[in-house]
Amino acid sequence: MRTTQAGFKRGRGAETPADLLVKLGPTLLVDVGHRSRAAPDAPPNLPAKRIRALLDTGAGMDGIDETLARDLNLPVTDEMEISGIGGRHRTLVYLARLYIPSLERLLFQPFAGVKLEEGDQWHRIILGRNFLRGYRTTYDGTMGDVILAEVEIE
Amino acid sequence: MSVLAKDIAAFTDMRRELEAQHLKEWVVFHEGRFEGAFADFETAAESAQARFDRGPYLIRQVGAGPVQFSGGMILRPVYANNAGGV
Repeated sequence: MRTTQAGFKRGRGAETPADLLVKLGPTLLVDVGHRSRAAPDAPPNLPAKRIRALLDTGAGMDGIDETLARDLNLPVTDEMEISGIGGRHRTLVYLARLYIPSLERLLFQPFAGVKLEEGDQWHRIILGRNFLRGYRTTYDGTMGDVILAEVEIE
Repeated sequence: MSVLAKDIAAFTDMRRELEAQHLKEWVVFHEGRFEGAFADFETAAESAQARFDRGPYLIRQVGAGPVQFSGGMILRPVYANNAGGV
């Protein structure tokens, strides 16, 4: 059973791991792209590496920064309406492969285009409830620990 | 926001027929034409990518409702984004 850490092991300066978890949120490093350049039996080799992905229980769908999606020339596969605390607006949906090395998991799926860079956000990917459905997530705010553990879904 | 206008218009025109024959399946449209229906998104995407590379092409589930994408992170103030090298 694979597990990974989405919290923070070390603090920085006067900030503890718990402070960083409050400030930044649970984060995974992922690789993103249109196609893998690796051989079929090798781990995926996607062009954008170590991209910060926020685990967001508020998101009903996964999202990708629009600038990153355009830079990677990801295919547009739909349009959708985003509804949230900022009101409603329409956005494009992009097709991407996303690889999580620490979980050895490759996703090939739609991502809603979201304006993370434009909003000066630290992350470039949002992984929402759909992604979290496959994991048991333990959030320890006191220690800054967030553990994702694979669970067999019957 | 018009890159898929022809495909979305074609999907809308065929909606009743698609709901009768392909409910819950994933359909692919390209250049305003219906290209096929697939049991899951990944199979539809593999097919579309193999045939049309970077598209654009529409991949949509027939009969699916709207998705809520509420962004909790929007509540985080911009000043909190300086990770300081983390």
